[in-house]
Formats: sequence, structure tokens, C-alpha cells
Amino acid sequence: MENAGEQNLNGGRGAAAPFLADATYMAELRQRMLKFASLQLADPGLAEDAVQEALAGALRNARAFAGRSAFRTWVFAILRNKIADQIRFKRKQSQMIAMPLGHFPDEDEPRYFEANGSWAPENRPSAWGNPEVELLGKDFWRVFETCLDHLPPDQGRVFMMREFVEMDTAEICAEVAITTTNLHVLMHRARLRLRNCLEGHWFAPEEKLS
Amino acid sequence: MMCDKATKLASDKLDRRLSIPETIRLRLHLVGCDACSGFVRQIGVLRKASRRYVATDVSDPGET
Repeated sequence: MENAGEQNLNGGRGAAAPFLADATYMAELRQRMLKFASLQLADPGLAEDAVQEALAGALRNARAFAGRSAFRTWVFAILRNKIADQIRFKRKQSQMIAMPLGHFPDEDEPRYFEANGSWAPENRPSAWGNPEVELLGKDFWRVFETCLDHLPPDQGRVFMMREFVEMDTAEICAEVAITTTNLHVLMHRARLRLRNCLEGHWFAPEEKLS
Repeated sequence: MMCDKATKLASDKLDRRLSIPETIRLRLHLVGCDACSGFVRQIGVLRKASRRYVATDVSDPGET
């Protein structure tokens, strides 16, 4: 499937950046895009289309990009827009609210708080220092991805719509057919869970704030 | 207000405008609670990291 892109870039457009001819790199990038799109769009076909279009769009201007990071930033920005368009379009076709969320009982949630509302000692936030996200290396991002993967699916979907695709809350609620109140509950739970996971696996495995 | 409610308001604040009483209650709680103050900073990191994640070549070992 990445061949569509390669045809473009071998199509006599002059000095394309060398990484674009790296089939392994392009295949991996495509996989990551597909994973990202699939988390947002119920229909694998739509996810596939969004990725194709984003890649094709990015490759049309590929010569502008000297480095992989810049290219990836660009291609994901396009993909994010494609996904947001798809979600808006789908909503207009009012017959399909694609993936309404199920119930989200809180008995499945870790016990973050005591009955009186104070932090449970084992889940109480520790100091993270003062992390600059710009400086976090690839090991961090691997942990970050793993923590995202471990969110319950409903939480993962709304979290990514909100924080990755940067949809506003009204759009998300319409898409997944939940109330604003429920969205806020899911976001709170997702943040608690992600926070916990990152803390346990990256930022501060040991000490607790008193 | 206890920590469970305070963290909920802190999380809500990233998704909606808090009312003035909510803002005051949250601030009052945070003044006296290091753990929740840490939570507030950390969900800010989560937001920044999410945006960075989308925009960055995080899995590419070939380029620094």
C-alpha cells in the first residue's frame, strides 16, 4: 500500500528526501498512521482512506521536507484533519453514529481515592520534576504509547479525540453519543489512569508527595 | 472539597470553563494539597505530551 506513495516520489520529481525512498521507514510510518486513524474511525475502510489521502497529500509536497520529523509532523497534521473531516461528515449522515460508547461502570476503575475522597496512598501523585516534553526521548514515547494502549477502549477513544485530534467536547459527545457530563467523567478517568501509568513506568517510580 | 472532587474539577478545567465558585473551591483546595497540585501539573504534561506525540517522530531511531 505504501507503493502509492513511492510511485509519486519516484515519478521524476527531482531530489526527494532520501528517507522517502526507505521502504521500511515508510511502511512503519503508514502502520502508525493507520493505528492512529483506526482508533478514531470505526470503519477500517475509512481509516485506510484517510491514511492514503494524508500520505498522498504529504508526498505531493515531500520535497519541502528535509528531515523525517518535519515530514512526519506534516503528514500527521494532514491525517488529523482528514479524521476530523470524516467524523464531521459521518455525523451529518445522521444514520450512523458510528460507535456509541457502552456503559462505563466505575467498578472497573482502580481505586484512586479513599472512601472519604482523599488519595489512596498507592495512587497518590509523586513529584515528576519539571519535564519538558520537547526533550523527552523515544523511550518515553514508547512508554506513553503503552500507557495509551492500556486505557479502556472508551477512555482511549475520547481521550485521543480530545487531545490528539483536538476536537471540541460538543463534537466528541455527538460522535460517541454521550452527554457532556459523561465525557468529563471519562476524561477524568483517562487522565488519572494515564498519569498513574506514566508515573509508575517513567517519571517517579518511588517517592510520593506528602 | 476532597481530592477526588478537586481532581475532577482540575480535569474539567481542561475541557470546559469552570464556574467562579468552582474555580474558588479548586484554588482553595490546591493551596493546601501538594498531591492535587502535582496532579494539575501532570495533566498539563499529558496534554502537552499528547500534542507533541501527534507532531513528533517518536519511534524513529534514525534521526535525533
